[in-house]
Amino acid sequence: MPDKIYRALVLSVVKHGYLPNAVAAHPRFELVAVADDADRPDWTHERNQLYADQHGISYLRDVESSLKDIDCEVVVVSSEAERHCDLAMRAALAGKHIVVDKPLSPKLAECDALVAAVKENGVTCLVWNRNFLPALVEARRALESGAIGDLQAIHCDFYFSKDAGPRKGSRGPGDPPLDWVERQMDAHADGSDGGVGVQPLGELQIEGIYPLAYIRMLVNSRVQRVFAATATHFHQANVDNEVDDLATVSLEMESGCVGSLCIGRIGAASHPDIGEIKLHLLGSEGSLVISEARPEVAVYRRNQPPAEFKHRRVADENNFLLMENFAAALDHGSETMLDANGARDIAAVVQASLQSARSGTPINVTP
Amino acid sequence: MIRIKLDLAPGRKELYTAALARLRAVRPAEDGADALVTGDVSAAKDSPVPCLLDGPEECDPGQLERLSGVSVMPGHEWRFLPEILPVAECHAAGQLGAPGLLRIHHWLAADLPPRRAAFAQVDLAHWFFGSPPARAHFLTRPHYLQLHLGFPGDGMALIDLATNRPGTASYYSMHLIGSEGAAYADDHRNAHLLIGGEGSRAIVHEQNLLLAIQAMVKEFVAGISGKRAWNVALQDTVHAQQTLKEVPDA
Repeated sequence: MPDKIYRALVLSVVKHGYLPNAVAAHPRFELVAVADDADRPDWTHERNQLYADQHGISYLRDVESSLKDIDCEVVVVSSEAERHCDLAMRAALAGKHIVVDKPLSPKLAECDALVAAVKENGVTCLVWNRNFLPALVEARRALESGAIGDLQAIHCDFYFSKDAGPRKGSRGPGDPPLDWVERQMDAHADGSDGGVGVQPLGELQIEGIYPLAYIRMLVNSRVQRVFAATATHFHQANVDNEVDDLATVSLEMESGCVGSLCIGRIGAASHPDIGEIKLHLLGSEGSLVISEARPEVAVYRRNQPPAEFKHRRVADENNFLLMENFAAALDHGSETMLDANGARDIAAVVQASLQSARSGTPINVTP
Repeated sequence: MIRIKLDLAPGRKELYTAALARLRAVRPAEDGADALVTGDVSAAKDSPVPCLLDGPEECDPGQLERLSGVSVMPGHEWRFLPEILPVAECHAAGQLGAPGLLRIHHWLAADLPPRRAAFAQVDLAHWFFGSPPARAHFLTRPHYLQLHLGFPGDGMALIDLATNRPGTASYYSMHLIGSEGAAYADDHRNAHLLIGGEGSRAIVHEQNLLLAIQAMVKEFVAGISGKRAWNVALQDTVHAQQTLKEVPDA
């Protein structure tokens, strides 16, 4: 039924609302309500209520009864990262299809449980990603056309140039360490609160899924072994909470392809726009360098606020194409761009990388 | 006026001669020279005047050890390339803060052993982080080498190096990311676009080796005139060789 409109229940929307907004913007989906657990902190309820009010839908403080009583086929999970798997799991058990924000979970066991629940309950899952950005579509097209031959190596540089609170070294003697949740709540205003939650998360855990999903899509082979290094180089909140803001990972894939990832939240001073994000691909017949930001249009003007990006991305259909991909999966049973299994494999790479960084040795990725 | 004897193979001599011609108070000389440029370690060892050793990365570590006590500046010309100099200057001036990550992609059309091609990039990493690495991990494939280096403190370098690439164009991209800023030297940014009947293709500006040699000789001469140490020492050559000694064969 390609004309069917899928009804979507939002389970928690405590981050900036890009994910439920993307669902709401697609003509094949409509948001019907927001729900969350009653025992969540007040700020959570406030944000859920605000989002519901903005969209003219109701907010219910009971996930289980909402899953049972509200007429919907889809659940959209946009909670704190540490609750993604729990809420998605409850949706799967209720027989609902799932759109869940990244990262799937910092805990591999939770990812494994969700993969099993999705399979057992015959539901479809899309984990949010950026694989439909125009530059990624271009890269995929070039590879599939054989333009560079067989892929031998792939590298992703993924630097976000947003600040993340006070600079490293800014805490005075006697000052208390920065509270992770408070810092993330402050970041809500500029949309860089991807790590919101009680559990502090490093940049590799929060954003690593994006570049690793690029690599997964383009290589089409699992990562077998990693060697990684991490550092807290830029931000006091990361220092105080002992999570990385800079990481490097060497990757060995089952296919024999090698790769690497450099990722960091490098500070607003370090790039004129959102950050340097690039892919370098080496093939048997040629090479490809892709800038994730392109195409973009440059705008320079008098009195331009320093924080305003001077280069604006254009022709970005990622949100639409992800939801189109999800709708097709619901209509025809096809695969989503990044399903629970794929996101679980990426979580395993992240976990192995952190283990490698701690041990200083290469680590095999849990298959 | 500093008179410099160029004891070099023809191609290199031509390059250095052109570089000298661009500098004030410097001229080539066969006899009575105040300084020597040579690629011959023995000539450097026996030189009564300060010496610029061309191509030190080709020298055996044992040969370099024998130069101990001799006034020799190793010719690390890659440090003086036009795209490296501004990065090095910002870094040296403290504008980037503490270096956190050096990221390099270097793809060469030339059929060189990757380990040899990696020498310059490893030296850059040592230079920017101020020491050889405390730990290293390598991935090798035919015509490919990935170096993952960790430096004292929390600095890291990830170098992706490929040789024998199809075609004739090489590619270079280098980011140095510090706690206060970042510098990007990137062929992707600097490419031109040629549009023709068969579509469009990028034209990457070739590295200007003459400018690098010119800047390097300038430093050599400035060290002699100012009676100061050069900004590159034989120990730097040895350190880069030692780091690369650990690279396994593909």
